[in-house]
Amino acid sequence: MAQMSNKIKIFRAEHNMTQEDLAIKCDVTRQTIIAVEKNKYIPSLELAFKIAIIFKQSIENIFNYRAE
Amino acid sequence: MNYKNYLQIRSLITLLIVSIISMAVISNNLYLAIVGIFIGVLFIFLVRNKFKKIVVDERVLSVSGKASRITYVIGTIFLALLGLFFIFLAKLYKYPYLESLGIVFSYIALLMITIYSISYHYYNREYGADE
Repeated sequence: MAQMSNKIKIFRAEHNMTQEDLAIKCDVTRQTIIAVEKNKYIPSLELAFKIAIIFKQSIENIFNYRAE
Repeated sequence: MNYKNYLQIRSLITLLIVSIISMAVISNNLYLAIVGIFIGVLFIFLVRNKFKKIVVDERVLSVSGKASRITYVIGTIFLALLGLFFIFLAKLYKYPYLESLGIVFSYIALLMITIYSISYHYYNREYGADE
């Protein structure tokens, strides 16, 4: 089974950003950011790009995909 | 206005619409029901405009899509079985009105399947599956 993980929480802390701030910048709800952070929801490619652009990182640096 | 306030106001408006429609049904007044629905829709529209924050995003759409599919599957099967049950019951005990009720339920199930098929094919083409 494939597993997704991400470092959004770490990058958010580095940029001194709350979940609400990130949600507003990405045009999504805070609940979506919470779900993505907890790996309960896999974001669309568009949202992944938005997050990557906000943190000035590549998608691979933020999201990890592991096929088991 | 924060998200919690928005949800509270929306619930309040829904409650208001339900009470107005209930009053309209009790007093057998069609105009009151129409006015109630119109005022409710207007209020919800105004509150949503005032609340600038995003309330529907990709996760909400994904969740509602899954919920809609489950509702469709359960609803259609339930209505079809209920329709069949009433039709067989009517044939068994010779109740003509039960047969009509069964036929109505069966047609509603068919209507749901038709609407689902049309919307499915529409969105399937919209998202690129031409062949």
